[in-house]
Amino acid sequence: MARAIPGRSPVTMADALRQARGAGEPYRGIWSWFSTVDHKKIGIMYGVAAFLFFLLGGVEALLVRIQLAAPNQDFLSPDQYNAMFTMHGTTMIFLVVMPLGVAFMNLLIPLMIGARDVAFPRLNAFSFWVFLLGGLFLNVSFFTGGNFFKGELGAPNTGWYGYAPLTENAFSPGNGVDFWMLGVQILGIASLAGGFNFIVTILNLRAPGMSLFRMPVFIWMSLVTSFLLIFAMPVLAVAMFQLMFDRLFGANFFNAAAGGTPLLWQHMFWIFGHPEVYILILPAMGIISEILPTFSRKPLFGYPFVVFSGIAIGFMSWGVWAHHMFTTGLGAAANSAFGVSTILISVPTGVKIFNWLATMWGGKLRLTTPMYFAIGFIAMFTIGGLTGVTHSAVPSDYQQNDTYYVVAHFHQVLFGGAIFGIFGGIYYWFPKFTGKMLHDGWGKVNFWMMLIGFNLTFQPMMVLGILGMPRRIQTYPDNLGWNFWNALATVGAFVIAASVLVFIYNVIISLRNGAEAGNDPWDARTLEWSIPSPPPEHNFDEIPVVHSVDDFWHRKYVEDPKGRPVPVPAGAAVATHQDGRDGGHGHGIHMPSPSYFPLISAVGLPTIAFGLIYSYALIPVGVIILAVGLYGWVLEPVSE
Amino acid sequence: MAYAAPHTQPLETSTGVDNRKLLMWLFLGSEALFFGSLISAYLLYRNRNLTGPFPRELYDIPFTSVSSFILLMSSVSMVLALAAIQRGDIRRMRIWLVCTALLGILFLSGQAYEFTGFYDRGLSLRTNLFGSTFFVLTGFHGAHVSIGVIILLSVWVRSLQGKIKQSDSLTIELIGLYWHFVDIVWIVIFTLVYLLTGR
Amino acid sequence: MSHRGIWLRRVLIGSLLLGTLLIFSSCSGIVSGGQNTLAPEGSVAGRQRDLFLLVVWPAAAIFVLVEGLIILIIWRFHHRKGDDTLPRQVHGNPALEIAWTIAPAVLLAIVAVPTLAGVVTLGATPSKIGTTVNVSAARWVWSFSYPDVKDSSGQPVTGPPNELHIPAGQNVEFIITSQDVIHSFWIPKLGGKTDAVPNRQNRMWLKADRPGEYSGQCAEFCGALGSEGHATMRFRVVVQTPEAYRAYLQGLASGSPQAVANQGGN
Ligand code: HEA
Ligand code: HEA
Ligand code: CUA
Ligand SMILES: [Cu+2]
Repeated sequence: MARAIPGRSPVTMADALRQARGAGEPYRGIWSWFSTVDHKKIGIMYGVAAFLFFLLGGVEALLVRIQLAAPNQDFLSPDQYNAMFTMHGTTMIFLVVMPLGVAFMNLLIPLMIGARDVAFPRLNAFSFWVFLLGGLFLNVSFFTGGNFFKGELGAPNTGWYGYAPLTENAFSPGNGVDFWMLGVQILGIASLAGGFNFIVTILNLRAPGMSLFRMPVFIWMSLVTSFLLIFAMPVLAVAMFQLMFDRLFGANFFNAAAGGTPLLWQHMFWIFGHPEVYILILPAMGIISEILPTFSRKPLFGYPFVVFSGIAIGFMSWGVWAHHMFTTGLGAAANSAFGVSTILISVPTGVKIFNWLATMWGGKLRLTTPMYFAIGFIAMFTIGGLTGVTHSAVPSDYQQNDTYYVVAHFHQVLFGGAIFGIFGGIYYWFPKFTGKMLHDGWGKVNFWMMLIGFNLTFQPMMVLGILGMPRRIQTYPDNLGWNFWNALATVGAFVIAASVLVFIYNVIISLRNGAEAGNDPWDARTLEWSIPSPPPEHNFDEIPVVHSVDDFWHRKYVEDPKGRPVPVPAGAAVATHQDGRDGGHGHGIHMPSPSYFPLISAVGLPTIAFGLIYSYALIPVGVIILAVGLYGWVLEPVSE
Repeated sequence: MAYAAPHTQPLETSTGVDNRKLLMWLFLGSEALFFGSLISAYLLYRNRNLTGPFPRELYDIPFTSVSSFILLMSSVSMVLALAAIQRGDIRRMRIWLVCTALLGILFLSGQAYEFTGFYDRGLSLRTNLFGSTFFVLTGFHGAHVSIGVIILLSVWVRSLQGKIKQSDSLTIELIGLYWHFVDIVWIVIFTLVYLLTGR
Repeated sequence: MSHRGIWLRRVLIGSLLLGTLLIFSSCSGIVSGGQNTLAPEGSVAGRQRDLFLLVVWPAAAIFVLVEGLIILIIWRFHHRKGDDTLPRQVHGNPALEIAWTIAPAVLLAIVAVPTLAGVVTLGATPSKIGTTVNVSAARWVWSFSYPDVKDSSGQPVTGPPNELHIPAGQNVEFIITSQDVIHSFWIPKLGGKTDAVPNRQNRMWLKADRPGEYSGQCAEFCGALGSEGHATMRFRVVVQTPEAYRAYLQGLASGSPQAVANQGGN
């Protein structure tokens, strides 16, 4: 539902396209995608790839749900089932929510801070290719277990956190776990590259006047997320390397017979793993911190509070990891300490919830689809957060740990939080990057089905956990009172699946004949809305000068003495800043030139990984590819 | 490598640190956690070894002290290389770069000698916890030194081709940062792993 | 626009009601048998349930507060057709914000006290122990042995696999370990779980209120082979009167499997 903005006529699609294409040569054609270093194209590729992985992870979840729909079923064998939930969890975490967050960061960071691209465009492309190849590498494992079509799956089957010593050769022969540890390792490299790049971009490339405390909240959350990424991934990398040395070269890191302790793995994994869960949620929190003010038609309530609580979450997330290990026998002292730190971390999150509510309070809420999803986020994430708090009461977690109660908790925060936030973001920014509005009516159908499906799927799991149903079982007796709730959850999962189909349908019809978006369909607040949709390759004809938070809004409205905004008279707004049609048309702006070297370097990594699994002869090949890519990259003349 | 921001930006919206340098600092911060994890694993396991050989039977502190000293010296020559290019003295820079690389190689040879010695006396990756944690930790460090040597030699070759100018001093500075970091990590390893817990 | 507001409100309220219903129906324990952790039959499980509820009630209150506010806000502040003005631009209110930072912190501090007390009490085995059981897990069997009574070779007597006997009304200490991968020892009706970790002896204690039969189950994923696996790693818990329990151990000691089988059910 495009709304005309007083004082400005929406830029037509044709205008926008001319703008986009006139700017840079390599903006067209299939091959340009392989060599692109444009953050917007990379962001789109990140998003599309992650969404396809979401469908894959979703299908895996549906198979899990079919198997669990009733007691004593044998739709899947135990091995197949174990592969399903392992791949489901690994996919959803590493191939869906993380990269979707990264996709938004790619698309938005330069636009929101008024930059022409990220600091290291080729590193950015490298990050994407490594991610894509790593994800494909991980999924190749499905076909390595014999005849895939007879259901002989080679995929890893030790759970998404792969507790040692179950992952050791003695208990997991075959190469599923090898694919898992090497695949996740490759994905880690992609995340690290992204993290470094975003931090430098945010710290160094802000438009004139955009001091740290004038940055949009999404940028703040991206910054915190990026820091978490660059400090958490190396810890996971070490754990995965240790596992690799155990499995491939006979080391003893997790070998109990040699005196090793499997708890080493758990500590390392969760020192990574807890910051990781905030890596998953903070971008979504950033997204809804942009959506809520736009549609409440009010600024974010307590901007500094929201920012600082985000930073606080970032710091505190390092001090709670052992709450995943309450039942491992760490002792009363450790359990108390980690119980208290876990309780504490709810406070900064609570602050945000209340600030969001206060943002809406007193506003004039425009209930568009993005707004629905943002409100859905608050409503559903709160449930998940509160179940999280019940975990932190340590002794009651002795009952909850490894049951469906935990499964309920993390889907409530991951689906009700991260996925809702991400869908809100898609509906919100889709017009900016395609020039077309997503259909609002179908969007609402999508939302309601998803909300209902979500509650039907995951709230019964809370009940199941309380009724003593452990997680990761592919079959259960029929006399424990679990049948009804399991059936309900399965129904819910299919409702979610239907809602996803509605979404896909909406995207297709909207791309074909959706309403034209224009520069600023939502009357929004941040800089990306000041330029055409889709943005030209160089983003800004002229780098904007920023005077306040929500600078773009303040160009459109001034406040009267009572604090009520009044639109700047027609024409004035256009005159005072670039609207993308006058000015340089992007001529004379030097954009980084495209390069194949990031892709080439990225190909080296899975080659090495295949070599480690199948034949060491491949390793030098991979190393050479990597070296050629990197040397080419460094020596390639950067366009002047 | 980097896509530079327009020069018109006032300082407050940028750290004022060059993009590439900031990237290097962040990378080293990340690396610190990498080595921190490896060292923690070593320390956690050092008293859990069930079978020999044990550290005290193998460590040759005088020998390792010498090789540590060599690595330390390479940091000095790295500093000199940077100072040279900043003065515009490419010839001196070239000498000091090679010198740094050679010291690095000398250190690596020392490590290779130490590893083979340990191996001959019955310690491998597979033998016990000590073997696993020791070789993986010091091996990763060695790999970092090796990468540093490769970079140094690559830059040296480029400079022979006349491709390195005074304006490239940032590149040398970045390599220096990396090199010093790897050095410092070794000092920590030498102190914690060899000196304090080696007996 | 406003008809949409009403619509939204109805569905929202509907789904919230459904959600709450689901939560509370389980709390009220409509299902009592099986492995329901809200219907405990031992003091440890009872304490854990109490602590859980202690947190659940404030959590439920916060839940109602947040969801209620959402509904109220949508109802009161949704955009009305024809209204072209913008709302007053409020940027924040530090006093209010500090208040809603401190309030949850205080609430949580209150919750933390019984939590810590619980950790300490459940973490240390009570001084008065009725009996000790060694629990050993291996893929995918549980073995239980009883150091109170030794067999002819001086070893603790061992019962049949996947069958645990304990006396009612007494504190029972478990010393838990694993032969291979990590498992987790769990009897939902009697108390929370403790992991069985190779190379490590974890301790846990429980007290069953009365004689009866319960089900226990491995709670840490431990793999599968063929049809056997983590899901099937279940065990039977037989709580007996102290006398019957003694007799059971004696039967084990005398090595008469018959006696064991007969007394299994008591
Ligand atoms: C997006 C990801 C995400 C997020 C944000 C969270 C948030 C939280 N998590 Fe969650 N968690 C996971 C993802 C996440 N978690 C995952 C994936 C697992 C399982 C991994 C696995 O085992 O496979 C897990 C597991 C997990 C456990 C381990 C359970 C077990 O295995 O036994 C615990 C234990 O304490 C926990 C606690 C918390 C807490 C206290 C929060 C808090 O941050 C929540 C804070 C939010 C609120 C509390 C709600 C809003 C606040 C207010 C409205 C203010 C007022 C509130 C109060 C006064 C209470 N989580
Ligand atoms: C962001 C993370 C995320 C998300 C979004 C989900 C989404 C879902 N999860 Fe996930 N889940 C995890 C993360 C996530 N999960 C993790 C980390 C675990 C732990 C794994 C472990 O224990 O190791 C887990 C475990 C887990 C279990 C426990 C398994 C077990 O312990 O035995 C279950 C059981 O029901 C489950 C169900 C679901 C369902 C039904 C969805 C649904 O919401 C999915 C909805 C999506 C779809 C249905 C996709 C739509 C697809 C189509 C419409 C098909 C169209 C196809 C084409 C066009 C080709 N999940
Ligand atoms: Cu044993 Cu699960
Ligand atoms: Cu956590």
